[in-house]
Amino acid sequence: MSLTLAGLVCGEKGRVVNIVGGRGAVMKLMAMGIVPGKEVKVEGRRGGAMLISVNGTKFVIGRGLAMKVIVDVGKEG
Amino acid sequence: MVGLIYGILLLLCGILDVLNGNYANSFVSFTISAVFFKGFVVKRESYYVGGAILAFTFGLLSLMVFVSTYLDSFLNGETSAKFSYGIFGLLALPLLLTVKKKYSK
Amino acid sequence: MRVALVGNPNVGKTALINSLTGGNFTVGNFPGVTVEKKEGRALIDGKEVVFIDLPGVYSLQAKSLDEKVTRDFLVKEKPDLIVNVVNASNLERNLYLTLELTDFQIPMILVLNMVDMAERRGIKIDSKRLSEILGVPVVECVANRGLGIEDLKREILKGGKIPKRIGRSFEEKVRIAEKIARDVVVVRRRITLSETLDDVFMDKILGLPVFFTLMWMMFTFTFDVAKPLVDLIDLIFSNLVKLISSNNGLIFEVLASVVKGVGSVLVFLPNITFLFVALSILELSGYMPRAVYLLDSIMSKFKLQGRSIISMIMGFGCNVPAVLATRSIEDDRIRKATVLAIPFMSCSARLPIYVLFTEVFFPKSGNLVIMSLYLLGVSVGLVSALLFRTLIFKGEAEYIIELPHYMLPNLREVLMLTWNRVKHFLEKAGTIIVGMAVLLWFVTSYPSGNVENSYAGLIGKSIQPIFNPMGWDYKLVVALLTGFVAKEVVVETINLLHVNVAGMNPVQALSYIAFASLYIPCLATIAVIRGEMGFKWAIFSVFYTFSVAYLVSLAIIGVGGWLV
Repeated sequence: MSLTLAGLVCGEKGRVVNIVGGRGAVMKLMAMGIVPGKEVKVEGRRGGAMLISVNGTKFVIGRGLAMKVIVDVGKEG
Repeated sequence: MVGLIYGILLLLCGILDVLNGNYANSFVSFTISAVFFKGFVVKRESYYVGGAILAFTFGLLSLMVFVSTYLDSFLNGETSAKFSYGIFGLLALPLLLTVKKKYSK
Repeated sequence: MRVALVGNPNVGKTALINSLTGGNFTVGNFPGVTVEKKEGRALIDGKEVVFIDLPGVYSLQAKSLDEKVTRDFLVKEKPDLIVNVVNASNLERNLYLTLELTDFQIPMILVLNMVDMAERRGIKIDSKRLSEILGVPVVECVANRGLGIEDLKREILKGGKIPKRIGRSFEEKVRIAEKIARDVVVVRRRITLSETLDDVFMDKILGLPVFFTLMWMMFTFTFDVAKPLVDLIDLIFSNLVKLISSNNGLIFEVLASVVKGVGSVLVFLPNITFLFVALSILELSGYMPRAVYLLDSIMSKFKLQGRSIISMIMGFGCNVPAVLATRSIEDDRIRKATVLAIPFMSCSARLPIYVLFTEVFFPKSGNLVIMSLYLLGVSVGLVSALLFRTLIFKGEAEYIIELPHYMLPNLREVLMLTWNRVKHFLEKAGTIIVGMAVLLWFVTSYPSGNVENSYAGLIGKSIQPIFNPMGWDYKLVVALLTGFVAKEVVVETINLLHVNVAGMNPVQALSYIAFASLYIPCLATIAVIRGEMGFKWAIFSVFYTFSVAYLVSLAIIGVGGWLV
C-alpha cells in the first residue's frame, strides 16, 4: 500500500518508492539520503514537523516536503 | 528503582524550593523529577541517563551560584548567598558515572 | 597553495580547520553555522598553506545560497586541492557529494572524520578499498581531538590526486554512492548513548519543559555565576576613574570620561562571556536542531519554521551573526520574515541596560524581570513574523534538517568559540565605545560647562517631547539616541551624564527598558540586514522597530498607571 510520508503515524515504517514534485525537492531529498528503496521510520510528530530516521540518521522534515515522499508501508496486498 | 529514588529526591528539592519562593528553580527540579519518574514507569534506562545529566548539571550550577553569590556579597562587605536545593542534583554523579562506563566500553 | 574544505553539514569541518591551523574559527554542530567562507593559514614543513572552509552542503545543485557559494568558489577560484571531509558514521550519504566533486577534476583528498564515533556505533570503513575506487588518498581523522592530523598534513603536502569521474547523471551518482558504501562499510550496529538521549530530549510531553529548563539554567549561569566578576571589574574601574580625576587638566578630564565610558561597558564582559559559553555548549552538543523540532509546532503557528529558532536563539548573543545564520533557511519568504524578527531578540549588548535598571528597581526579582524582557522580545518578534508572513511574504514552506549526534563539547572548542565572539565585543569596546566616550564628553561639555545647555542637552530636549507621554528625562532620550550606534552605549551615556535613574518610578523604568530593548537595531545589524535584504528593507526595519517599541512602552505606561 502506497501513501505519502506525511500520512504515516508515529512508530510506523515504510519503504521509499518515489519522490514526486519539482526537481529541486527531489534532488535535495536524494542528496540527503532519502532515496527510493530506503526504509524510513517515523519517530515522532509535532505540529507540522515530523521526526524521521533513514539509514541511522535522524531528520526533522516539514509537512510540505513529507507529502512529496511516497512510501510503501508493505501491508498485505 | 534508581529512577524512583532520584525522582523523589528531585521532587523534594522542588518542593523545598517552592517553600523558599524559588519558583523557577523548583520548575527545573520538578521537570527533572518527572524525567526520572517517566523512566521508572516506562522502564527505559535512557530517561535515567538524561535525568542524571540534567540533575548533575543543575546541581553543579546551583553550587556555582552559591559560591559566586557568596563571593559577590563578600566583595560588598556582607555574607549572604543564593541557595537552591537543586544543589542536591550533584548526587546524580554516581548514576552518571555508571552509565558512562556502561556505554563507553 | 590553496586548499578548500568541502563536506556535508555536521562532519566536523570547522573542527578540522581548527586543528590544521591551530587558529581562530567558529565551530558549530548544527546545520547552518558555517554560512560564511572562512580562511586560515598554516605553515606545513615551511610551506604556506591557505585553508578555505566552505559552507556545509549536501549537494552542489546550486539550489540554496550555501550550495551556490560552494559551487561558485570551486568553479571560479579553482583551489589547488579539495579536502572532502566525510562523516564516517554516514558514509553513503556523504559519498554523493564526493561523487559530485569528482566532476570538477581538481586534486582531492578524502578525510574520514569522526572515525571514533563511527567505531563506537559499530561502523568500520575499508579506507584502502575506498581510496582505490575513488582514485584519491583517504585519511582517517578525529579532528576535534587532533588525531590523524599529521597524516593529513603529509598528504596535503603531496597535493592529493585528481579523482576518477564517477557517474554522469544525478540519479546515477546516488546509485553508485549506495553501491560504494555497501562495498567498503562493515556494520555491526550498536545502540549508543547519543541515540538513547533523544528519548528524553525529544519526549512528547517532557521535551518542552526540558527545553525551558535548559534556557533557565543558561540564564542563571549568565547572571548569577558571573556576578562577582562583574562587581570586581566595576570596583577596578571606579577606582581608576577616581585616581585619574584627582588630577587637573583637560587631558585628564577626557581620559576620565573615556575610562568611565569604557568601564561602564566592560563590566558586562563577564555576563556576555558566560552567555556565549552557555550558547556554545548548546550549539556544540547538538541540542540546537532538537530545539528546532520541539518548537516547530509553536513556530509554525507563526508561519515560521523550527529552523528560524536557531537564528533567533543566536540573536540573544548578537543580532549580526543571527541575521547571517538565516542563510541556512532555504525558503526565502521565511528567511526574510525571520531576518526582520531578529532585531527584537534581545542581544547581549542590551543586557547592561536591563541589569542597570533592575538592580535599582527590582533588586529581588531581577532575573525574572530580565527573563520576561527576553520573552517580550521573542513574542514581539514572533507576532511580527506572523504579520510579515501573512501580509508580505506569503506562501507554504518546505524544509528538512539533519539531527547530528549528541557530543560532549570539549573545553577547547567551547572556549575558542566563545573567544571569537567575545573578541568582537572587546573590539567594539576599544573602538566605537572609546570614540563615543570622547564624542559624548565633547557634546556634554560644550558650548557650556553644564549638561543642560550643552549640545547634547539641546538635542535631547528638542526630541524629548516625542517621549512626553512616558515622562522620560531628556538625558535618557540622549542615551537612546547614542545607543543607535551600539546598544552598549546607552548605559555608557547614562553614566557619563550622571542620570539619576532612581528618580524614575518603576513603571517609567520598565517602559524605558522595554523601549531600549525593542527600538531600532544597532548600526551593525542594520548594515547586515541591508546586505541580506537590501536598503529598502533595512530602512523598513528601522521604522518598524521604532514604532513597535514606542507602542509597547506607551502600553506599559498606560497599563502600569492604571494598576499602580
